[in-house]
Amino acid sequence: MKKILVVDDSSTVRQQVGMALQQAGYAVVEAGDGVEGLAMLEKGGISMVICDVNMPRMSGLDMLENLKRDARHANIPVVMLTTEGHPGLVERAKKAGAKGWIVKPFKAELMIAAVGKLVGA
Amino acid sequence: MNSENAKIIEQSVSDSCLSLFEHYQLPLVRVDDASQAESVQLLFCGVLGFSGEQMRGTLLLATSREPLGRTSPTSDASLREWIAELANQLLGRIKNRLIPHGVTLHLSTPLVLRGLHIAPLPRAELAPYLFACDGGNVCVWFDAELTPGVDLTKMVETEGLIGEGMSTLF
Repeated sequence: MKKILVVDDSSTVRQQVGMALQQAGYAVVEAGDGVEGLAMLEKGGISMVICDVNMPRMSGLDMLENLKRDARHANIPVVMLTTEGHPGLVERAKKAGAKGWIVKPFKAELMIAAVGKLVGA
Repeated sequence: MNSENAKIIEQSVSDSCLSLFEHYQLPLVRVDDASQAESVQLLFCGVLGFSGEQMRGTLLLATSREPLGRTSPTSDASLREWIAELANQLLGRIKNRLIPHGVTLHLSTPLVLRGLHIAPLPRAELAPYLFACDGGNVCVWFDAELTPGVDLTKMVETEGLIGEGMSTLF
């Protein structure tokens, strides 16, 4: 079973995303900010990351850039899930190696379709 | 703030709030007489700051229990935590609506206040946006200060802007 790391400072969003992923057959682990997210990656076994942008301690974009600098994690696909839709931020994420961008409130079927395309069922 | 700028901000805030709650299947109706907000019992208030070259200020979203509980996407979610996320999503919508008007905002992370009668003290007289729904009320204070000379009627290119609920793969 593919394991997805969901990083968001809102526990409600983590629950909401987690339920949708679990119903689609994925295992889910959670982190509340970028620092926790990077720590979860160290435990291994993560197939994909879904990550908020605005978070305390370490933002999603900073976490993305850290992750991509680490050869052990650089190939893990990352999709940003955020209220932000500004083209400048989207471009920064794309340049840093993100594979996609979803604007909250998200539609579960779109998110699951994106996950399926990136890591398979 | 001139009346044209004020009108654009008011439309952005009002439309954003209506569409956000609509997404969570809770239709709101704007109440024109904002003074009624003084008699509304509010449960929680989510607060975010925002800043940018063109505008800075604070957004406060406060609701009574009913709209907060009915919009929560999970049954066991903390209402305190949910008002913070709702405020974040509301300001995200407002921010995206202001991008075509040349405004780029940076948002803080939300914090939550609790109280029965929440009445912020803004920099100037500021009426809340008051909305009613079946069984409750929603109030929004959008305390914004524009940089002198900013003209929101001037539209800018928004190619690449991703709207709420949309996704894209690179």
